[in-house]
Amino acid sequence: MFTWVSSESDRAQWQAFVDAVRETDPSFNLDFSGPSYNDYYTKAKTRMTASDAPGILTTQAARTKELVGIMAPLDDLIKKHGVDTSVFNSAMIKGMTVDGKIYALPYDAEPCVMFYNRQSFTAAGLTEPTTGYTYEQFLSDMKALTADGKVGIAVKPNLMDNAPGAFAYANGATALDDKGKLSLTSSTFVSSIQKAFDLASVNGYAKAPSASDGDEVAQGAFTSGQAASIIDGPWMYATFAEQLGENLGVCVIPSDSGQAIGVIQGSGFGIGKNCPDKDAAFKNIMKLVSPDVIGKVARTRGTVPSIISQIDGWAEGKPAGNVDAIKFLLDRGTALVTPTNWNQIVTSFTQYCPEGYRGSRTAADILKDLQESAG
Amino acid sequence: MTLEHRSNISKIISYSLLTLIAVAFLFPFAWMLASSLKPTSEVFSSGASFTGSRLAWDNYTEATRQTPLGRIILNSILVSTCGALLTMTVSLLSAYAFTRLRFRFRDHLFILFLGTLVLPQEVLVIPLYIGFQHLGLVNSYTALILPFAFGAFGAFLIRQFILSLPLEFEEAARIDGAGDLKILWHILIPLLKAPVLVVGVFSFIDYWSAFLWPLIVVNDADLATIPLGLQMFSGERGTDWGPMMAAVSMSVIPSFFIVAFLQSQLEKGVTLGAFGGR
Repeated sequence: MFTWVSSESDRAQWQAFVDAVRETDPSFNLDFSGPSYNDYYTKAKTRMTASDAPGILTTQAARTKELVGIMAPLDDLIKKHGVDTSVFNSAMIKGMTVDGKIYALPYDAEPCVMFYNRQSFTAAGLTEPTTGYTYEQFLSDMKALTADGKVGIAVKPNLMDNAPGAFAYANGATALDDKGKLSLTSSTFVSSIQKAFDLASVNGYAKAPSASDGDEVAQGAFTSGQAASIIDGPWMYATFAEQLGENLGVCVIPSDSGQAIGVIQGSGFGIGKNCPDKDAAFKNIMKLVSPDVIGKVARTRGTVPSIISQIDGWAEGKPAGNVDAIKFLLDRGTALVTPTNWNQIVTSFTQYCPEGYRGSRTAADILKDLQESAG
Repeated sequence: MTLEHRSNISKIISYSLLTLIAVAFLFPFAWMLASSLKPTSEVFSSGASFTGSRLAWDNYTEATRQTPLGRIILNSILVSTCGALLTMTVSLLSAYAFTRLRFRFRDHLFILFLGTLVLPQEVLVIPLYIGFQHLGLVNSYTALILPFAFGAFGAFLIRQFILSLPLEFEEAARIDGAGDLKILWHILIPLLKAPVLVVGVFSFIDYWSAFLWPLIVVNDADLATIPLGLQMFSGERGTDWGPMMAAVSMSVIPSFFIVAFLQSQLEKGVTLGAFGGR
């Protein structure tokens, strides 16, 4: 299998899948190789064209479109082996579908959430948010949490897994319109991104990031208590919980209505276009995404399962409020469907968003530029 | 104010400025070392402090446990050394051919060769990969070393020096019966030692810091060079900054000795350009 595997954590992730399958099929074997997570999509396009290319590869739903040229559609194999795709999170299946064809079966479904520090909320005399959270209430909470050099929320220089994109999707905006065209300048998208910028430039509830910060600066501010909350993916749950323990709270993304729509991201297994025995590869994928295996990996590795019936494995040992927020967003989730040049768009956003957070440019101005250059 | 006083003031200003510049250059290294001794969770959250809550020496053991760091550093030394030697050889031979050998369209070919300098590496990567794939050389040291030994920069630099050498030496040697290779070996190489070594040093640095081509052409961790190896600390769920900084600190050691050893050649490299190759 070709995947992101160079770090110890990634190796443990794939080994967890192998171990889970081996519990019922001791003869199961799967070798995995590949570059680091950051370099995966650069490397995949050449590696998977080689004559000795691995049969199976992984892809994120949001970037499946980018890999269609090196992946085989799975519809015929799904039909032949009678796989019921309705057991998977529907947003993830939608994300893995390009031009009506399914290219991968998902193993996780991770809605973007707001992590918060319970202790900070309690100390400020605030009620903890869970599955209902209006933007108005959020602003009031942020005001109370911003004091003594500490800020209400940590923001990263990113579009997604972060306040700007999460606010937009929570309010019903999407990067692509119904016809599949880039729609970054829709009024809801623009106003939501501006709300995120205003947190730093107008309200002072966040510190403006710089383009070179990466995710770590904001994440470090949250885990060290310098910021009371952060918007991120549930894949960060274990990392944050390691630092904050019982104080880690999870709630939905604040939205105008208070009933946020979740933007669901996740990854899955597909088959390389040049794989000589696609049937055998698909049988292995079926083992990797069986409910039992997905549940076991959710329990051991903390991935939010792509099969909702297995959520209990993930929920084990976590506070009920945190689990409720994830379930709520999974039920009301939408896929992050993106164009093929999505990487260019998010990279440009990273470059320009500090100007938005500092107040020197408006969201409308930045998004208009992105729409014109990438649309 | 006496001349001596003025000279002393000028010295103080010069040394102060040089110290400031040195501090500016050394600061990132000091920060790297300090970060390598902080727990991962504190690398970005300890603000401007040089120290974390404890001295995390375990970052160094973690760095070697998580990656084959010794092998990775050796790979970089091997690839950079072989690449630099090959580049020096190829550049010297092609520079000699473009200056002293007479053949049709020589100067036109040289201009064409120079034209390759404007091609960014990103443009070359895919055709090169396809070529190496057909040759069955992907995922090998050969693939890491070979492609970038044939650049035009070294040939251009050495050619300019050969042009400045009087032809009389070579003509005398030719009268004594020496062929091209003998002339090159006994007459030109001793005179061209400085520019050839400069080409070697620049080439070594290029190989040492190359990332995109090794990423594309290497599939096994055992063949990874340092830039690829450092990426092994970044995963889907974040980066192990403590061990990564420890790995960076360790991987800087060989380059520190190499630069110290080749310092005079690096200085020549800077000054050679300043005097137009003379």
